[in-house]
Amino acid sequence: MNCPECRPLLHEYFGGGLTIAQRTAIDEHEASCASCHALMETAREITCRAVSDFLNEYVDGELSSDRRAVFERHLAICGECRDYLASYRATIQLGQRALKQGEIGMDAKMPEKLVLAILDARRRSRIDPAS
Amino acid sequence: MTTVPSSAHVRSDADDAELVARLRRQDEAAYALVLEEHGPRLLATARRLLRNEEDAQDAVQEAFLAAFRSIDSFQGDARLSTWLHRIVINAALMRRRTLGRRREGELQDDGDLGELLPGFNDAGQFERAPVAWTEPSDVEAQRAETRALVRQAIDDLPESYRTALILRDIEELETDEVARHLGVTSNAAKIRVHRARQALRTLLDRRFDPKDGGLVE
Repeated sequence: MNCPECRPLLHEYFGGGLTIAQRTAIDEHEASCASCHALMETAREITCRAVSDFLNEYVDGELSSDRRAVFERHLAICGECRDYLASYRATIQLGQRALKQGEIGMDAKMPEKLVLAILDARRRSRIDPAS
Repeated sequence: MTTVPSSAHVRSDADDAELVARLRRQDEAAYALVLEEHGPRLLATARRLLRNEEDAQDAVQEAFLAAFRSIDSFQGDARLSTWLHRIVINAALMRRRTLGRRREGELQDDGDLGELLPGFNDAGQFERAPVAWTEPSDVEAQRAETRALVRQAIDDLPESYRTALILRDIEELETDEVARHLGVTSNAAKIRVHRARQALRTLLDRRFDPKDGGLVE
């Protein structure tokens, strides 16, 4: 087995799939290929589930530098986690845009009736502290 | 210190100090000025949290009256806008707890939410590969129908998750403050915000149809 044959199979390899013959071929290739070995060590560092579980801390910049480096090594080799991260970030952005515009956002206006009611209630509470 | 979403007006600390001094002297014009400057943003916050105009206006009124009554306790270690923002969030959440309404179509906590979180196999890989989204362009995100669709998806979240998401991502509170408002630990608040974002992502994934030029490729 060579590198171009090995790499497309790695996702299934780490998912527990492939035949025994294929898994053995990958193990033997890894033992003789520093480049694929490094890639597989990175994949062994952290699972997609762990990346997903702590994605908020990654996005919010709360991970330690060591942990962040592990995340970034994983993201560099995992397209699924990159896609998930991009859509997670887009979700936050879409939520912000949806709820910060219009009458529930920057364009909100205080109805005059409400302003007058507050000023009136304040005056009355000053006269009658019990109210 | 907690920051609040940017607003149209920018006051300096000195402006705040002067306005607070006038409020403490019960200067009538100062009350009107505070309502004019801070009212719209506080009303927007109450509308986001309560989604009912009458309830939102009642919460804003309660919040301003509470702030005027307790203006002597304003320390000046936070901006006046931040202090008022915190008070209106308290008033809105208190009102919602009192009302205790459940919305039609609202998902139930954890039971329904679990279906909206990503699934993983024993090896910790995604059971279903996440669909790649195209970047939401400014134009796309600002389309009224897109905003309405996103708002609807947010409204479908279980209430405690919806509130956590709004407090963190829209009102831009720090996690500790989100936790305080929700009455949970900081770690619990962090997890709730994360799950709310993940669930919203799944809901949006389902609603943006690529054939309609939506966000997914």
